[in-house]
Amino acid sequence: MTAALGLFLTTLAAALALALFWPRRGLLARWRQTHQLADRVLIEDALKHIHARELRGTLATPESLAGKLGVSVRQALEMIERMEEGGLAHSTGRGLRLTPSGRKAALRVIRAHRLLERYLADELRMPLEEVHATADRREHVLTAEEVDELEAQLGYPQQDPHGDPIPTSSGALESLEATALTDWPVGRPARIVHLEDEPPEALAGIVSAGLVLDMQIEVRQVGKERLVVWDGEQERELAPVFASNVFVAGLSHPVQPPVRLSSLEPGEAGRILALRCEGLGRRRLLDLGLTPGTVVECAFPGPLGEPTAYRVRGALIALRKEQGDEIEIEPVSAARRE
Amino acid sequence: MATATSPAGGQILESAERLRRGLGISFRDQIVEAIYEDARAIATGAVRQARPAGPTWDAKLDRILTSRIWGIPIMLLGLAVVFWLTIVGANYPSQAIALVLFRIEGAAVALFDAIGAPWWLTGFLWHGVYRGLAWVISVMLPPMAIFFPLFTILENLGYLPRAAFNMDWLFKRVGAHGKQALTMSMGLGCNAAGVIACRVIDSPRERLIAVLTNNFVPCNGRFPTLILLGIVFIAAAFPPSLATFAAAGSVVAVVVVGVLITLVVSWILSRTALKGEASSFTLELPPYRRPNIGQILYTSLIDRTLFVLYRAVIMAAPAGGVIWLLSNVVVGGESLAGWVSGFLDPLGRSIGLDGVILLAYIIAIPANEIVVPTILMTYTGAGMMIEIDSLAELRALLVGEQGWTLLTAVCLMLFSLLHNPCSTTIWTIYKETGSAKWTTIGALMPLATAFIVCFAVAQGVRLLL
Repeated sequence: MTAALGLFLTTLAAALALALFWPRRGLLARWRQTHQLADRVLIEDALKHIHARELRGTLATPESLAGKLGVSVRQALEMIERMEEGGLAHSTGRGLRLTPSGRKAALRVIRAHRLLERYLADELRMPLEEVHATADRREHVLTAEEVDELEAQLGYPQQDPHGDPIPTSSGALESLEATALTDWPVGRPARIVHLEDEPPEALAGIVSAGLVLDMQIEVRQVGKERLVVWDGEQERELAPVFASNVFVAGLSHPVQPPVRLSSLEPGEAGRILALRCEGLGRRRLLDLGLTPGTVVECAFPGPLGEPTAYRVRGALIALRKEQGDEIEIEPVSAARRE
Repeated sequence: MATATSPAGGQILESAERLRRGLGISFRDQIVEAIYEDARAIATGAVRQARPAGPTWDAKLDRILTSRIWGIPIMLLGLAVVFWLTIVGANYPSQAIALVLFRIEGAAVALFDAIGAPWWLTGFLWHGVYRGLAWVISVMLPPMAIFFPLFTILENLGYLPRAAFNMDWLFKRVGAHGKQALTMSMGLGCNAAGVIACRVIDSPRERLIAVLTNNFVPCNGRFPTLILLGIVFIAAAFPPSLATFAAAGSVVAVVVVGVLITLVVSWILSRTALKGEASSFTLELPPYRRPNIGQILYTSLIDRTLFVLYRAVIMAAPAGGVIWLLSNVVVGGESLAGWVSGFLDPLGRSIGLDGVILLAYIIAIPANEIVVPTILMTYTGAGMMIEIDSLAELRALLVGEQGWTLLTAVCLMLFSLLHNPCSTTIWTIYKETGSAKWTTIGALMPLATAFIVCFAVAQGVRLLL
């Protein structure tokens, strides 16, 4: 009887020990994995922060790091210590700097982040102000091979959906030459080249003001409470605090109102200048022969007003208004058609 | 990924990267442009095109078929004509096939009796499995063999994309794709074929919406039930001269209700489980073409009709066996069918039906064609599925003996329209989506809709009367 009980208890203990200590599957190993992941996420986010501060010219400090990551200053100091031990960063009199291997690690995470944003915005059609937060969560779990594969599948994009350059697999990062909209002179034509994605609330404000990447604008008026810009068609207003998150570059010609394919009446024609969409939608349009330079004629609208049929290279293609809005054209008079 | 082991390899990768940077963002567009430019150059060199003087035939046809006034009426009329041809044309061949197949059953039973086979073997094999099979083939084959070729003719003519073009506005409002109009018309022939047709929708979200809601258009297999109810209950309320139109009208009304429910459910889906923006919509309107008879017969008969029939037969044979067992295994003086329908009766009554009807729908999951014969079998206590040819006899049984009312008929029509898809369609949804989750939703969501709608109608009417 006691022998049987002993055998039972030993088996139970052995089973329990196995469940706890089984390599990679056991509870202990699982706990350590989550812990390590959380740890790695913190370090990678810290590296990103130091990198961003280096680019801006104001170096990161333990306090800024603690604020950014939402940890105590003491925890931030511990992390800095660990990064210094690992040869990723070092403290200088003015703040934190990355070592070459730290920069490489930071760029790897930024690369994953921006490629993920591209994927979320183009392929899943997620709203622009939501892609950043999702990419922030997923960027840490992708391996370098998976990131390379994602890049190839997306067709080697060079910018994320906010206009930030994507680092290459070898770690090269193009610098972006742009000026904040608040520092741009009134009346000089400009093109939006970058929308800062942090904080997301600011980006949401910019998006709801109707400003998008690649838009041609001109600052009309700068005030304390609002900044008025002209996009060739209408005036748009936004608060200076949002405008400081919009970056622009010079434009060689005055701002022209874009003409969209959807504005054509039956019988009118236009030559395609550019497609203002990415991902699946863009590929579909290109596949149908709607390439820049092509002359498109508006054929007839549907019985309920939408969609509209267009004549493209001899074929009849129906598009909804949203697709027509994404195609920028220059009007062509009927006589000059091929 | 290639790894650079030699210095030369590293240099090549490096310069490739540098060159890629210099390409600019539009190099992909330039590649496509170059391909199209080459194609244009080849085409202008090789093809001579006569410039037509006036507007072409195609343009004239488009002007009528997609016009504000005529576009949609013509479409509805076309659909009605296809319906009518299918129902009227299938009637005679159906009876002929049934006659032959049931004669074989009689001969086989006589043979089994002659060699002294036990009654249960004869009953299970011939009155059960074979009869189920014969019933499905005779009811299903002729309408499909007419509907699918007609549908393929419209497809070949180039009309179907115009129908999608006409309807897209509505589908856009509910977050779906205009091509869903096509998959729905296909569903009138067979929901499994309709689900397969959803492949033409290239954006995944809209495709899933079309797959999940296809069941809300009644297929050929459900028409007999609808037509029977239309004749026995709806048409009876009209003078004899108008009876056939009233019956046909009630069937059309059911289809319209189905379309409305499809739009509502699509709208709900695209705001809940399948949230998202309407993605890219592009639809090519090909030139009108003379239909190619060989191709029509091949695609409609081999690809669609036989394919669907094959799947249905696989499902119907075991169902026939089950039906026979249910009505012939007697426990405590009552057949299994009696027990089960008695158990289901309160639930059935609450949604305006009864236990026998629910039992028939459970048995008929493999094929909706056998709903009416199973109901009649259980009511009359016959040991096998039966048909009653005389209308008066049918009325006497349903109204006189079983107490069916107009409300029963309306609820049954709604239940027939909305209930879960048949097992062939469920299997097809699984094949097309590859997901157990979406298949479950595709099966249970319509069932829930059917119960909710029928319950609301039954209770509402009882409350008012």
